[in-house]
Amino acid sequence: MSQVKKEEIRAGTEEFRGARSKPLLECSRLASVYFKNYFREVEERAAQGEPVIWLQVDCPQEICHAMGLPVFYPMHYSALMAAKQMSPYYLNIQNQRGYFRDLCRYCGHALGCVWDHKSEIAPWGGPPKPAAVVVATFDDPIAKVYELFAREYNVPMFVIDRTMWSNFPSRFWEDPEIEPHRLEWEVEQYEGLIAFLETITGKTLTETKLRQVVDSSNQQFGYFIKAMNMVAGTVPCTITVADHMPNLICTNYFRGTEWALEHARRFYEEIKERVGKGLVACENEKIRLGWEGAAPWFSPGFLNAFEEKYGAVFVWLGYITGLENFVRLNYSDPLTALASRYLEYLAWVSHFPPTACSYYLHMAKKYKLNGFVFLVAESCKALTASMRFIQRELQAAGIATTEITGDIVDAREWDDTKARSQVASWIETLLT
Amino acid sequence: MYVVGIDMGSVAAKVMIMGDNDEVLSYVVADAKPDAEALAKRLMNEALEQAHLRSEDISYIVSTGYGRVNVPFAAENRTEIMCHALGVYHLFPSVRTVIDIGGQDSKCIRMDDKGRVQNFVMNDKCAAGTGRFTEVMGRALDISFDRWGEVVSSAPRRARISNVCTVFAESEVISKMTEKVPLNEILAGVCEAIVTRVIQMIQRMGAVEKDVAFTGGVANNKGVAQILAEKLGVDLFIPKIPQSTGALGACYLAKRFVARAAGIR
Repeated sequence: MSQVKKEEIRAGTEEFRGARSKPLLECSRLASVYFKNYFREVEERAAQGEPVIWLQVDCPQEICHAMGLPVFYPMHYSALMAAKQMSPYYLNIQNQRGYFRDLCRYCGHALGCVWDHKSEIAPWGGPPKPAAVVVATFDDPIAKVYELFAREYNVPMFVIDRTMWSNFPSRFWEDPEIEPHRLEWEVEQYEGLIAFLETITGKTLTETKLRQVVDSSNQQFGYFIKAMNMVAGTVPCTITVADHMPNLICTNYFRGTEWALEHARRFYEEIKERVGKGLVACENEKIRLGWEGAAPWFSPGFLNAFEEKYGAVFVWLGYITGLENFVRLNYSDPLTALASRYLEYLAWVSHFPPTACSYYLHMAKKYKLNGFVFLVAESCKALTASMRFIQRELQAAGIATTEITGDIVDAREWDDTKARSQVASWIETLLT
Repeated sequence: MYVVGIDMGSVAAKVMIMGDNDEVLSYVVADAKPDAEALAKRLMNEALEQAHLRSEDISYIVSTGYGRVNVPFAAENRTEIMCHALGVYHLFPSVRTVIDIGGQDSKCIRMDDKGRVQNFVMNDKCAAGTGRFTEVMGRALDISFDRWGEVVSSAPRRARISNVCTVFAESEVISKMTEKVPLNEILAGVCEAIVTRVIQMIQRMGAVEKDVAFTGGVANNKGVAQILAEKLGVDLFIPKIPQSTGALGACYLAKRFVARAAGIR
């Protein structure tokens, strides 16, 4: 019955069906499989009474991994809901409940599923009940969204009060110094978080285990950096963003775990093999493009749509980037290493000019990009606010840009024909 | 050599056949239909009949427009940006900016002295500033499209239409009618609202470069054309059949493909 109901919902809410992306790597398939298996594992552990922690992606998940806690990421689940073509259904539920349409949809999307209370139709059976939720202050609505999660399940919430750079470093990817008082404050927050988690879950964190996880995560990101450096150097490119997405994004949710380290190594080896054999993603490559923002998760295949006809290949995804900053070495204790990671993370995810502008220019040159497409997701102020500044910087350097309006998860506002036409028109101007 | 350009727009489909000397032998238009492929075939047959040609006489077909992929018998398809630019370039070689306002979308194209597109902008998902907006307003005011020019010219002032949304603007227009604001002033205000919206879009591309062409179905609307020319401070180049530039450009593109193939041989 549930399959029929799901299909009814999908058929009733939209005629448009998103396109799947076309990854080339075996790793990409494995990453997707792992995520689904992990979700099942979390469900089983929750069913057996283990406490599950809901985390926003910019929170120190390494602490949870070191404590052996099962974790769930509403943001990842939001992407899954969109990929299952159910975002119109759930977003309508949110809007009916008073969730204003122009509020963040990507990070807040899981609310629709939580409020619907219908596990029989929810993707993968719906989210596991949390024992607690953890969020860091960032864009306006996110803490409120997590508060709503906490209220819905009547569980406690921990808020990491994250500080902002007072002077954004212009080349943050070169490991600028973080103000000591900010580091101290962040570490203090983590100590509070650990105490909170230990109280809620009854589990204990040891420094040894945390150090091991942080070291593993450093190695994990080290592999990705080496792999992506190889990718940047290949012309035609050896993989496209269709392979970045599952590998970089999926492992980003498992920082420092055994699986993530092993997967990162596997990813590196597979890239190395492809480069060694001269394997390319698109024989016909004529134009190398960057995509800014997350892919439209209801149609990630959009990013492969211009290869066959135009040889236009999306080589770089400006989403999970700043990998260099994820590697935190030369710290005396793992908590300070983590604190510095997340404060650095804040520098690129904030997309503030001039730092974001110089970063995108740096990556455009590194990946030899001819142009950039900006997905202007009007509900995501954090990602979109600085897009015009970044575009101007790129244009001044002779790199073409264009923007299309859409949303990362909301298929209701996506005109696929128009979006393809717009990008195709722009590509045609680059080719003539 | 005979070539065909097919513009499958969101509101209207157009087919043009062009001869050896760039003469237009036939041009047919019909409202867009759900079965775009069948429509394209029917219009193709009508165009052939009008030109006294058979399908075997055609050397190359290029399709463009929103529904360009729904023309399976086209040898190639290209986006409307490129085709509109090319069409206008052949009509008015001095033009560097094309403002195209169609039934459901509006766009502005900047091109160089060889008709190559340098930059373009399109409207977002909103219908304000498109032909749809003019239809709604024309109905509300009960003034037919072909009379807008004379009515707008007669207005001593323009009512201010502050809403950017088509639906809310219609309500605003009705309110003004209730307040006995003269219809010509309301209509002039409507035209100004359309032009303002279009100019905001154009400004995303930077300053307007002369000469400027105005194409698309709304270019037939003399009221909008008047105010657009006034606000831009230019004389607009308007084709005799403003909706035809997409199909025209597709014809010229078809000729290029034929020439390229011949050059290879």
